[in-house]
Amino acid sequence: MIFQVLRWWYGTGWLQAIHRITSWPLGVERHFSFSLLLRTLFAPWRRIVSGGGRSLDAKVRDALDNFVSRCVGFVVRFFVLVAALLGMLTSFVLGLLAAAIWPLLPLFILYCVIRGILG
Amino acid sequence: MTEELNLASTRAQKARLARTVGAGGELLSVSIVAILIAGGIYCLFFGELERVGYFALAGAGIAAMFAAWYHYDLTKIPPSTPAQRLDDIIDPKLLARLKQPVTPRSAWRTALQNPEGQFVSNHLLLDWKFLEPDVSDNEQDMAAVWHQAVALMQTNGGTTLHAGTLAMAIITTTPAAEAFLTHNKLRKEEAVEVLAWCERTLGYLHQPKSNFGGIGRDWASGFTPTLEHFGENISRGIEMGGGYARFWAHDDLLDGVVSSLGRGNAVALVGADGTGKSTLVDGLAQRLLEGKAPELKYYQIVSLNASQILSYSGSQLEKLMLTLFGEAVTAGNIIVFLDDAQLFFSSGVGAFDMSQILLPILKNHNVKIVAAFTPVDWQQLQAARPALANSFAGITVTEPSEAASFKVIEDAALLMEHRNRVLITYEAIREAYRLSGQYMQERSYPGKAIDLLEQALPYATNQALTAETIQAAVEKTKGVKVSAAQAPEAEMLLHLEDRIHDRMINQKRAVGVVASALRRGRAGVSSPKRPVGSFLFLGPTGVGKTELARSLAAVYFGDEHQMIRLDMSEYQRAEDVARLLAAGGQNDRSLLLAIRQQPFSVVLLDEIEKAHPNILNLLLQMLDEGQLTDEQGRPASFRSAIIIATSNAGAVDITQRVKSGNGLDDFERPLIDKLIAEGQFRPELVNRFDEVVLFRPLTEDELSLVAQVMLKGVNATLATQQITVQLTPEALKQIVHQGYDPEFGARPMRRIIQKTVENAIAVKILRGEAQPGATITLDVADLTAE
Repeated sequence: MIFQVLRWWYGTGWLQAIHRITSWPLGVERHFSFSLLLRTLFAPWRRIVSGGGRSLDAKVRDALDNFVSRCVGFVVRFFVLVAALLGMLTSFVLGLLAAAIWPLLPLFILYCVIRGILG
Repeated sequence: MTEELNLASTRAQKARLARTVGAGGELLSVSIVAILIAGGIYCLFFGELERVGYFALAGAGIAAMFAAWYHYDLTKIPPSTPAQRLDDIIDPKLLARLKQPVTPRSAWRTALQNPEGQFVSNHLLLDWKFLEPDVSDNEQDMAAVWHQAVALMQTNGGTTLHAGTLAMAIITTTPAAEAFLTHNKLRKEEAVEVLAWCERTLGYLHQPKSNFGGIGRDWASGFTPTLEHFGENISRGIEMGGGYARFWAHDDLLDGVVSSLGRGNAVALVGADGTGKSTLVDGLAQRLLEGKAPELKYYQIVSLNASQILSYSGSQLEKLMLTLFGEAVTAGNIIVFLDDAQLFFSSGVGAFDMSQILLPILKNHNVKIVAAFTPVDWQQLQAARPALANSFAGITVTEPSEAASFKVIEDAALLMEHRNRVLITYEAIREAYRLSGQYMQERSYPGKAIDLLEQALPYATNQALTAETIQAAVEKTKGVKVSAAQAPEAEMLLHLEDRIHDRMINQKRAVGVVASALRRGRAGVSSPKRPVGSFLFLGPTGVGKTELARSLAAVYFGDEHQMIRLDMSEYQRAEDVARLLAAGGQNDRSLLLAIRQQPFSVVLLDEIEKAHPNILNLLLQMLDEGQLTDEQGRPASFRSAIIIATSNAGAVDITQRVKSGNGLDDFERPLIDKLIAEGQFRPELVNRFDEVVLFRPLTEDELSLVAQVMLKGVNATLATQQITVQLTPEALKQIVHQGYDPEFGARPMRRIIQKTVENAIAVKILRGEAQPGATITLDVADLTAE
């Protein structure tokens, strides 16, 4: 069984661990719909827009309203994008760590056993 | 690949280990990892037990490796490729349970410990304990089973031989199991369908989880509070349920729908009820949620609630509709679905024409709309409002093939099982398909079969729906008899002639053919696509033609009123066709309305020769196909009815022949030929009846019996007062004499009895001469006294 575990550990298992380096950040990207947020970063919040004003005063008021709507949209999306970026980065680093630690774990066990015996 | 099984192979060992460890073992390993890491770190850095700390960390590492191996490898043991032996392709859960020596019986037991095996045996309603002793216990017989299992797996396009496949292989190679299937009226090929159903279900369970977009998805679209209030967000429903795993019968149509919507066109889904228009919209919603249609990615489908909206009227309705579509425009991600769209376009809805609002919206491609129409409604819209209809891209949703319909029904059955905690057997599904085809002709597959399964749920016995349950549901909801006749009904059918003759004198041949037809129908021998029986009764007036129909209705159908009687002399004009085929509601004399309300009945068409030729043409279809189509294009079934047409045509010939002392046995054909030659009947109509029966005039003795039968009726009425009446032979003779008319036969008899017998009794009762328990004997003097 030990041989089977080791064969898998340094074969398919390690490849799967490497694959997770990309799949985890992609999952985070999908969870936050990162690309959509980026595309609509400056869009009005929930498409709340004013329009139809004919007088100069009304047009200025519409423009101001729309500016506020875009600002709200920008702020919300910006912070979510930051959170998404952090999440992607964290998952990438964790994945990288996992892939790097993966081949070392059996060696670490061996090291601990030897240290345990030798004291 | 050889059909050898090596249970000592690495794959088999891993399968057994995975089973032994199980999910609990994995959880235990993870817990051990956490405890050992914590303990190890404490020992190393805070305690003075360095060696113990290292051993603890080594143990944590081992447990972590084991947990990872279990999680990522043992639980997902794929088939070995290329497969060399059976153990390379057997599902790990099954492989883990198999033990040497493997015999068909031990394999049967093992297969039924797995969900796939239970799926197959449960849906076939196989009693596994009952079957087990009949399954071979000889190891040699296993070769045939494995061979069959591999063949079944390949037929279903599978790559894994699971317990369901093994169970089905045993069923199809065990003669006793086959006998069991035959008993359940299933053929081997049909039973194998259950395996395909099982395979498809496994496919749904293993398909990757759908991704419906993330947190920011809806922030790109506007708020839709009014739409939320007056509609149902189909997309949200699908999203909350995690998406649909089902067979999409009209998947091929979705490309056309997406393409039309993407170009800005509104789409009209045109299909009969039950073809799956709403399901197609569900499929569309799922496809958009999954982002598979880039031009409509993440669009939401909102189905407007017609009844709620149309409770408004006039300017309020106009304002509401403008608000709804305004929100859809502003939101920018809404597809409006108008189910039963004709409700929004019918004239007379509310106080204004809704097309006035919809037409500019459709012309400007402002809102994406999908509308569902039946073919008739679509035609009506095209005729009444061509501009509006042309704004839609029409997509025809046809009835799926039988195979596709079965897949849809099976998937729906699984959902019903889950929601209602019942088992829906495969024979129930087949019976629902068959009977809905026969008795729900106004709807289409697969919807009507699914509806029938749902209607049958309250009749489930022992939490299972079987063919009998479906039959019971049809009998209760449709008022027809579909299950096999049991005693006492079977007994009554066997002696139907005697029962009819209790009310009907002589005319033995007519009674015989009608009774035989009913027996054939109830025994399932007659064609299910035609009426139970169709007869043309020819003969003089007052000889019992109508009485036979009435007696049949009373004796077998349970009530004299279980008869639909049409006097065809009222249908002499071409325009009377519309009256006959009215869809109901506005016309209470519609034949189709009557047969829909009372499908299991006698249809009596009196004096058929007087009907207009156009109506007789319709009757050809009724006699041939057992159905007629109403003015709205919906069929009505006559397949559970007995059709009796009566006519006095040829009465003179019949009377003359009887008077000349000849019987009527061989007279039918010459008389029919004569009537056809005279133009009284068209050959295509006469030849479509199962039988043409000649009724001969009644003899004096028979008239006497008729009078006695009628007297029985009087006595039945008097039974509540416990008074019995009887006639002296002379009195009876007089009634027969007075009650017979050469032109009207025995028809005046009832009136004479009323005039004489009933009047005489009434007088005696009022005079106090008839006390409860008395038997009154009436003589000629009593009858003439009044």
